[in-house]
Amino acid sequence: MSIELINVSKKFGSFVAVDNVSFSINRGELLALLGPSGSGKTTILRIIAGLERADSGSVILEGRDVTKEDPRDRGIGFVFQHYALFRHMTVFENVAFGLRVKPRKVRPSESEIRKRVMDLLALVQLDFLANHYPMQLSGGQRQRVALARALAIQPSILLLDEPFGSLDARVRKELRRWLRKLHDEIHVTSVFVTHDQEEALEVSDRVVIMNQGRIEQIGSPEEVYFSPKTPFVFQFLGDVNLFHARELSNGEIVFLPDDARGVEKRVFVRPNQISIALNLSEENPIPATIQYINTAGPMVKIELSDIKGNPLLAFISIEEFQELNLKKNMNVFLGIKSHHSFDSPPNF
Amino acid sequence: MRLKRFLVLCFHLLLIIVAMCFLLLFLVIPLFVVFFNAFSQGISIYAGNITRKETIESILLTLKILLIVLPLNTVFGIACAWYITRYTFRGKKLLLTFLDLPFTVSPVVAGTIFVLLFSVNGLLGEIVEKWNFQIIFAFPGMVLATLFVTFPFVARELIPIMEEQGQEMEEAGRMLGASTWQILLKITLPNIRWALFYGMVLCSARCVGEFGAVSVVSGHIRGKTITVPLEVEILYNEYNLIGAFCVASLLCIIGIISLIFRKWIEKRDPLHLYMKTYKYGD
Repeated sequence: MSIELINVSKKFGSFVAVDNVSFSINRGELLALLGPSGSGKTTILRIIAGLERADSGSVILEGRDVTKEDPRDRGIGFVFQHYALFRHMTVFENVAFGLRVKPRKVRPSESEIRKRVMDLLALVQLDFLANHYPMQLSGGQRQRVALARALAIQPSILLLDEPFGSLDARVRKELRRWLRKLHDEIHVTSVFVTHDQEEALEVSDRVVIMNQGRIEQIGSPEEVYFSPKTPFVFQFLGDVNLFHARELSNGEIVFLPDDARGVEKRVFVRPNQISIALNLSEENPIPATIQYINTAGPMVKIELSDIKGNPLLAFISIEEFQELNLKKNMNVFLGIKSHHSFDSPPNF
Repeated sequence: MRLKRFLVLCFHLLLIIVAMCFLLLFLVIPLFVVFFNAFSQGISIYAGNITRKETIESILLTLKILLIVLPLNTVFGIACAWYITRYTFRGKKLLLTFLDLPFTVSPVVAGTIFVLLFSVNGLLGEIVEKWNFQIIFAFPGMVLATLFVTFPFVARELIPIMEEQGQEMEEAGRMLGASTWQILLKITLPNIRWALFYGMVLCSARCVGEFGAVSVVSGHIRGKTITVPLEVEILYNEYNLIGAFCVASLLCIIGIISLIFRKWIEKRDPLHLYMKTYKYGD
């Protein structure tokens, strides 16, 4: 089912949580709402669900305006951040809940409920825990019970609020691949909220990046990563170096700090787009000093400072690192392989 | 070093002795005196005192009041706790303060307020007279006074526990299609049942033992508006000390049973246990 938000705004007291947001989600899509805490992403999710009412604007599900509709009539499955499992019920009863509260006319028979619940538990690979209580499960297991419970009512839309937020790093990675696979199998329109850019870029079809209640950019993971529209997006999606470079009248950008030609321009460079050389050259014109080296991981992380003392970050391969034989406090020269700049004045 | 340890030990002993003396003086001895005096003339006299017509009448009246007040205050407590913990609204703090009013205001004042309101010369006296429905110095007044004195107990037990649980479970139920009624019965109540029961025990204990407010509105009409605590007072004023102690022993037994109930509930409530370990555990 498609979802459309039109000019949605929401205030809590004087705090503007969502500020005139419009976007649409295609049928069968897996969409990530990405942003720092307080950016309004959870509020948007709750407005779609009907748990929160927008101050203005409307929510359209498959062409039907549901802005004023009760959440129970929307046919939406919701997975809460802290799972919100019914702790006085077994796993089985948790999943069966949505079927049992249906009006008698449409309620499936006991044997049907049993079959449907066990099928769902098998889908999330937890059928052996049917008679356990939530308290007895691990975080990852609770998460999957919550998912099975949300799927039990055969929702046309699945909303997940920070689905992996309270899990440890390893379980988290496993579960998000599993969620991607599950989505490819059942193809229900899904929206999940996250503050983890890696998670959003890895799992989703499209990403909505939010900041201070507004949308910064919408696009596929590749689009937002490789062609960010705003400085915020660029900064939020990975480590970043800020250079005060100068733009010449012919459009060329020079990084030399003491060059007085052209006009000043702020330029963003990812750490892996910085090259390091031992000698000054045309490609490597920027002098810097190595402050700290961290070799643990697939790339070597090097912290440097330029002449003015501004901190810089560069990632280089281990081979390159060994070849250059870099040490702490060494003076080196940096080159910029590619950079990004924004026309609108960055306001941070 | 040894002297220091000795002094610390002495200090601990002193504290324990003070606490013990206090307990002995204000709890054990009075309780003992009540039961000792009640049974001082033998079991048959005790039984005779308990089964006297006036005593039975007072017990029945107290039970009648309890049967009306407890359900009303239970429903009120649940509704009040639900409203306070599930909604944000203007004047929430004020409402919480009002909820404590019966704890802070002397019961005698509460009783007097009802007298001033509903007596013939009172503010609402005209209406009362028009409908020919006596409230003061009659059963309805006593129910009202008891209601007022005991209304915070259930709500006060439920509010912290419902605050702690949050409303995620209820929201989950709503998203799964449950009606408000189904959410209340299948999600909210099962999760607060022990706290609710606890609040009801406290409410009952206070309801049975209430003296001040009820005393003011009752008018002390023998066989009509005398509850168990009032009966104790009357017997005492008539210099029937043994009788007074016999009836008082009933109240003591009810109090002790409530205490045992309370301990039992605390043991059964997993959340309570959790909060305990959370507070005092390692």
